[in-house]
Amino acid sequence: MLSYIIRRVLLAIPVLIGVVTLVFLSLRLMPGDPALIMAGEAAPQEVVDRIRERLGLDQPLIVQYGIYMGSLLRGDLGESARTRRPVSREIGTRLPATMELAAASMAIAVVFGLLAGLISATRQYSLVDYGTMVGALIGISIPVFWFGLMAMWIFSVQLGWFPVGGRGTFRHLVLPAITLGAMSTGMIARMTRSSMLEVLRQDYVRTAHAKGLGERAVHMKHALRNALIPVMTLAGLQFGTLLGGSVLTETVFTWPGVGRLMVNSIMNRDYPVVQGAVLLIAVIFTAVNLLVDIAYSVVDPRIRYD
Amino acid sequence: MKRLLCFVLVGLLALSFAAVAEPREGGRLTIAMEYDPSTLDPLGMTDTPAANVFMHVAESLFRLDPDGELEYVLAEDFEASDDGLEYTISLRQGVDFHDGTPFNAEAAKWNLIRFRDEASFGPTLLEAVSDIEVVDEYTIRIHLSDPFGPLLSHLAHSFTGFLSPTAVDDGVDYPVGTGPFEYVRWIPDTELVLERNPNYWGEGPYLDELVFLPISEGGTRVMMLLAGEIDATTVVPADDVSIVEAEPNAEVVIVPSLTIQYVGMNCQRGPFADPLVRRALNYAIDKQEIVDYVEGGFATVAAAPFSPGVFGYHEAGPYPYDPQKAMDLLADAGYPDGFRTTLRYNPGWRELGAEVIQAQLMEVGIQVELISMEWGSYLDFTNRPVEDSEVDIYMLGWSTPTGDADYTMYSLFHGAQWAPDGSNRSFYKNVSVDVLLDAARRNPDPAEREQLYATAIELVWDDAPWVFLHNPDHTYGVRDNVRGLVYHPNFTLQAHMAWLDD
Repeated sequence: MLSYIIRRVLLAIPVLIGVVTLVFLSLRLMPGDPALIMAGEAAPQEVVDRIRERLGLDQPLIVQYGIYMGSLLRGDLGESARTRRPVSREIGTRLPATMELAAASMAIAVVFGLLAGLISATRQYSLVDYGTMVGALIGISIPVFWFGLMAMWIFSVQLGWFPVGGRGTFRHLVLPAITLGAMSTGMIARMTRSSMLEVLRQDYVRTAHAKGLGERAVHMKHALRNALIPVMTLAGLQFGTLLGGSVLTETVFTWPGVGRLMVNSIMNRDYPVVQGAVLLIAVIFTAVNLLVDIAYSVVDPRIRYD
Repeated sequence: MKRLLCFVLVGLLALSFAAVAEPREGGRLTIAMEYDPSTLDPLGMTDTPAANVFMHVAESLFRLDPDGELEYVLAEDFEASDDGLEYTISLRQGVDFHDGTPFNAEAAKWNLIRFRDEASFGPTLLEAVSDIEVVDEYTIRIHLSDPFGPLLSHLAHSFTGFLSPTAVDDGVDYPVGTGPFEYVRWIPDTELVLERNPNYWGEGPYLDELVFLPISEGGTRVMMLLAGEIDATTVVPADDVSIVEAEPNAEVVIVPSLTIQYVGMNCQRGPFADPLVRRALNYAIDKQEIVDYVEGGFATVAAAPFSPGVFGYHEAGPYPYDPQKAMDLLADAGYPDGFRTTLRYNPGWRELGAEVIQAQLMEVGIQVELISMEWGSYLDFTNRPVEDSEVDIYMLGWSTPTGDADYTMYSLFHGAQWAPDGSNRSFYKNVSVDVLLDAARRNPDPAEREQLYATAIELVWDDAPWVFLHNPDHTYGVRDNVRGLVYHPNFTLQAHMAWLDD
């Protein structure tokens, strides 16, 4: 097991170098001159040149790449072209907010998604099943903007239960977490249902029934555990996505997270920040994938990593 | 009209109240802006949110009031020499920076020279300044290399707020000025907090705390205003104005802006090299429809290349909507059947505007292909030198934060200001206009300058390098217990004299 983990971590290094290189190149292939955007449309050429020089954008591409990779190896992500603060600080101040929101949404999604999926699967083709699955479909397809604004209108402006925007207390967290979690809840519910139905058709489930086990024991002890593997994969990927920051939810609820930072930085062609944020997301995805793979072996002892 | 009347009445009511009610001290006012400032270091400032925050912390020699009149701030008086090459400015005495450093002629000189040499706006605003002489402790003399009429309005620009030289030398990474509020903290994407300067030299401030929140989503700003989480906001989206007006505790304040929206035409390319064609487009596009449909009615059709609140304004238009006249002009220019062209724009409200323009131009025989470009790419594309430019027509806007015609006329219509060196992205050149603009720039006499600009505007209007669209309004939202807030046409909310009623 340990050697497997070490091998996976080592394998992640070329992946991360690839991601960094790709982002570096694609940012520079993108039309739009960062110096021009920063100087504003009214700025004379002299000002634009001054900014370009400060950002090192007057250097040849290969030199810029060398400088960037060099400092990256020393753990230095550079400084934001726009605010001139260190990139690590820019991302670091927003990461806790994103993690808080991701964890809350994920908790909602796992609890309610699993529950809904289980109920649906065990009462297939019943009204409860249809109702739950329509609910899941709505959760997946509802536009975050609309859902978020409606939630604000009802629960903040009309009822005054939760604040509209910002971060700080638990009450600030509720509406954005529900809004962001709605989609994952729907996806997990549907995946749980189909996976459970698949497992319930297996011979060993029939055997369990035949030997006289109660409905509950069959579902919870025999079926659910085996049905969880695809659900875990999905949940893991969802969590990775949530940790990368949810741009729309963060924007609607003015949540100070990584997603908003990244979009603003792309708009402003703030190369160092975009590179740093993408690197962070790549690291998160690699780590989450590894954790999910390890978790497989816990749920299903037949899966071994030797 | 009804709305206008309503605002006049509200205004009168507010005035009569203001005359009676004593300002109440204390409290915290929260203002939502669309974005965070990019920086609070004036050397790198380019955006409005930065200006909005900075003006409360640091003060300039002058400022422009909402009517565009020059007010004294850290200056007390000035005298210009007859040749327009020297401005002697007496400074306000007994003013300290927030760190206790005294404000005097040395500090003023240090700031102005630093802005000229190091700030990104230096070449735009202070290029004419050749030297600054300290006459005595509270007097400076600004020497110019050439006479420069707009000098004082440039010195009123909010980016030129003075910082404490001691604080800057000590490497303090936040602004330390002389303004009514002092910097407390800034958490990016979260909040920016200022507190009352207890030793402020002038009247006010009345608030204990002034907080700015960056909230990019318009719907969210409106919800927060209605829920009472913010006291005031810039930009209530046109669609949401009626929602706010229906609310008993909040209202929308509509202020004409210093901005113009236009469709630029590449005067050196294809059919647009012919002024007849450019005039034809001005007749072919129904500006009022764009105002009503795209801006929700919160704009005025443009009658000059910049907005009425700017010094030097002269009404030359508007071009009436007359498709028949447009077709006649096109026929005269040798395009009786129209032609094909491209219109570039960046997404957002311009998308709707572009579609309206496409439909209207089709009616006079001009087939327009719409090309949407993301903002960064768009700026780049329209900023290429003329020989590389592939731009036919494009949509952009321009503001005149100095409140002086020079800022717009010189940068956008002078033949020496072609992109990428300047902002003349239409590659417009008319030697008579150049001569007039140079003269207006060099003349220190305001009355004569106005005359020169009027003539230049008439010429530009006839040459029509743009389709002059409209001057948008600012729609500020505010809770009804907020008093004394200044809704400035330059897109800032000024809380210097603001206070909170019960």
